[in-house]
Amino acid sequence: MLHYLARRIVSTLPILLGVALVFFLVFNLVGGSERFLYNILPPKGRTPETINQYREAYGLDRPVIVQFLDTVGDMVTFDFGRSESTRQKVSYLIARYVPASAALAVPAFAVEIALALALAMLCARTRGRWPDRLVGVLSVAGMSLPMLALVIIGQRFLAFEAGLFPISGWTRGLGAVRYLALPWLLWVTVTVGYDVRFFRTALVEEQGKEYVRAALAKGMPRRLVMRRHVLRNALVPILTYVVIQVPFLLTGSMLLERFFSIPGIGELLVQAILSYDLPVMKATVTFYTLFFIGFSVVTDLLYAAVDPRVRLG
Amino acid sequence: MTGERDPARPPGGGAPTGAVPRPAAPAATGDARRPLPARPAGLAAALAAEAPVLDVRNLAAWYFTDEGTVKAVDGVGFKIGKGKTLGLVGESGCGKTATGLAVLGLLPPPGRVVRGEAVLGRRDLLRMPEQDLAAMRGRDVSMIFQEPMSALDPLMTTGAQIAECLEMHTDLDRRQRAEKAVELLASVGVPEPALRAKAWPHELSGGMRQRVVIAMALACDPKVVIADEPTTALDVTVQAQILDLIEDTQERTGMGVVLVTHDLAAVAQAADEVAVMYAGVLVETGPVKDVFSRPAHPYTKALLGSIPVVGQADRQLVTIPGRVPNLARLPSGCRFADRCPLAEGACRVAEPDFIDVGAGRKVRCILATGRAAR
Repeated sequence: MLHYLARRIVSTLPILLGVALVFFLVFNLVGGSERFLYNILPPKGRTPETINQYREAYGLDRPVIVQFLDTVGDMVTFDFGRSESTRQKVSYLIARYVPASAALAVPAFAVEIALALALAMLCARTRGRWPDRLVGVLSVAGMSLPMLALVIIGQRFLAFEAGLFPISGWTRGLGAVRYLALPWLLWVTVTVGYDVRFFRTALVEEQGKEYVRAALAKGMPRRLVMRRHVLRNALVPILTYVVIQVPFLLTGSMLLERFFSIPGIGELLVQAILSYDLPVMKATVTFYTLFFIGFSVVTDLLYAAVDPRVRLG
Repeated sequence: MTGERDPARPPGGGAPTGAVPRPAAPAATGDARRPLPARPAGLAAALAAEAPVLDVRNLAAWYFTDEGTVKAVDGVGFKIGKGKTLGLVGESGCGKTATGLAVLGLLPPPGRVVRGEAVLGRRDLLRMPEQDLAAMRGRDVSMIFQEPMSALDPLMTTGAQIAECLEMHTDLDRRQRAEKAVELLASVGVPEPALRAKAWPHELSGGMRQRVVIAMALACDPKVVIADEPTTALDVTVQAQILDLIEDTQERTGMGVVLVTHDLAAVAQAADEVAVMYAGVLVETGPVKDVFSRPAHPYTKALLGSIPVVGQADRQLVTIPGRVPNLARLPSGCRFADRCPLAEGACRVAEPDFIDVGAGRKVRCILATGRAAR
């Protein structure tokens, strides 16, 4: 177990190196450093002299390989300096933007997973009959609606015309729930369909296994077999699937954060990209990478905890 | 013999009678009613011994698929006496397993029992609310499954899986159930049972797992056990041990066993009666020794002819040409006619009746019964 963790931590380094390489290549291919220099200077100050001055100050005149290693160094030490747009420390910015993202993603995700599991159980129990079919049709309908269309419909009809929610905005503290309600609703609507279908498949597959029949042959009522054997076994694939999704919550919420002016980490990244704010871009990319790696480790650990056949090492 | 109270049976739903072995078959009368064998000590004991523990009559279980109705079981009947074993044999896909599952009410959809009875202790399992049937499963009738790996929940220790059966049917508390599970493991010959009770299924060998499956099925001393290919997935050396184990338990508890298998050697070793199944119906039933030494149905003959015999290397094994007919589109006459070496015109006209040919035997073949009647 410790051996496994140690190996996973060591293997993070080459992954970070790869991410840094891709990031660096893309950034330079689109002329990122020139745009960066152009953006940080006020229009009147953009003379070749000042640009060169800044180029030297940011080390962008050094050989590409040195710049690359510098980026890697930033990532490993998680020290990115200050944001070019706000002059705040990048680590401070990240810490300030994460809570809003979490407030959007965590409750929406939790409700959605619970709802999906309940609906999938219903489907599995009534397989082929009307409740199963109804949920199936609704799931496909939900999956077919693009998030963007739902955002527009929601803001126009539910927020603007019906006045059920504020159109967008943010406040610190518990008051944020008012602003989060509509994005939560949209989130659950768009994602629950996929999960219902996946969970249902996992449950139905387990239901067909011989040990389910054996449990019934022991005299156990179907409901109990469902809970004690089918659900527990289906939980193995479901857990993996759910935990592996967690990092994508951040990317998934980018659109919602943007449309509803929620000051989350996605919003921070989008702003950084738009303003070619190099330190913030580096920091958010690193943050995402570590988040992904961290959760894949968590997936493995949970997997081993649930299934006695899995050994980590 | 259990034939003394022989209700009018629907055609095609014949039953191999004979819960008690008859040392010498009485003269055939061409009728199911025959004199009873000499009774042991008390009349009550004799009656108890003779009443079948499970009486399946005219059972039909069909699968209603999009491609049509698959008549997997189409009028099957048999009786099992206390402490007796019936071997239900036939090729893969002939409806053996469906028969077993139907009796337990565990046919997977779109399968459904369409007619018949399965009487156990005066109650018909096939016409019982699911709740009542669940209460009888495991306690009165249980099943041993074919694949010992897949019949065990991989996420539960073996002891806990055995204890579940006790949880359903006894008042024992958690601790007592765990102790009883260890005892059961010991009784099916699992070494170090206390240790094995805490083991996960994947930590045990195939033979050991099958013993766990058996312990699970026998936990509550059922009156009847349907053993669905209990030895098929096992090594040959382990097969005999498992059959012995089932037999030993039978002697101890007096349970009746339906041994569903395609392994004729297993039937010869373990069964008292044999019922040969073909394409959803029984084609021949009777005491194992008689049927195997003098098979009457061409299908039984072919099955027996397809087994290699040690020391007869030069003997040509008989293969049965063709395949089991599509159970959704059965021929109009005898189901075996297309593969039968003896088939003649009359065979394809109407399905032959299941006729009693005496000595506790029944055959579904106009050629065989014609000869026997002569």
